[in-house]
Amino acid sequence: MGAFLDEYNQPKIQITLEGHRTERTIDAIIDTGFNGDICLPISTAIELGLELWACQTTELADGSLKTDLVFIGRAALAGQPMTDVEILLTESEDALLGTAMLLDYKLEVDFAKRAVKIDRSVNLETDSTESTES
Amino acid sequence: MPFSKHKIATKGQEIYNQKLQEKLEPECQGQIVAIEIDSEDYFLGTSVVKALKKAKKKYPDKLFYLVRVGFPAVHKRRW
Repeated sequence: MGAFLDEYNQPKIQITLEGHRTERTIDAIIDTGFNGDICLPISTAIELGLELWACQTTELADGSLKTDLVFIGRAALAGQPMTDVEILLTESEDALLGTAMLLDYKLEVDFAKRAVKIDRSVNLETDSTESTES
Repeated sequence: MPFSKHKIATKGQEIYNQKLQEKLEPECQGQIVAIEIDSEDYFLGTSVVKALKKAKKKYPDKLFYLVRVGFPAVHKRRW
């Protein structure tokens, strides 16, 4: 699904983003320390033409709280359908993909083989129901 | 009136602490609440997008303050 380890050994995945102005495909760091959807450099958010919807409090790694702007756009993991997503801003040049985008997936990182694999996770409840019915 | 994220955050947190916390925390832990600070109206959802879509449907021209019920922050992030 377009996932790989970059030169800093950070797992990345290709995502497509859509705002009011344009659509872009970028590589985002898979950040398991971020439980939102997507965090984008300010320049990318401006280019896409994202719409500001809200403010929220975010907890940073040092325990401090900051007020973040919350934008709404559309995004898709490579080969997957577009969905509405919440987007925060970062002053870094790296885009981040948070765990909220991966709740239906299984993520495997094999650092030794420099391989990153993301698959849709099997829904055990659905399987169980199908098994009972058959 | 110019937009101020700090004004929205301060007023929104005040509304949550004074009017919503006691009402929502027993039943809605972990859900997202979107607060419209002028009307003090609020909208619950299991995600930010779901709560905001409900809020925007009623108040299309407003900005909202988000709280994760029972937690000090909506999200955690490293940077």
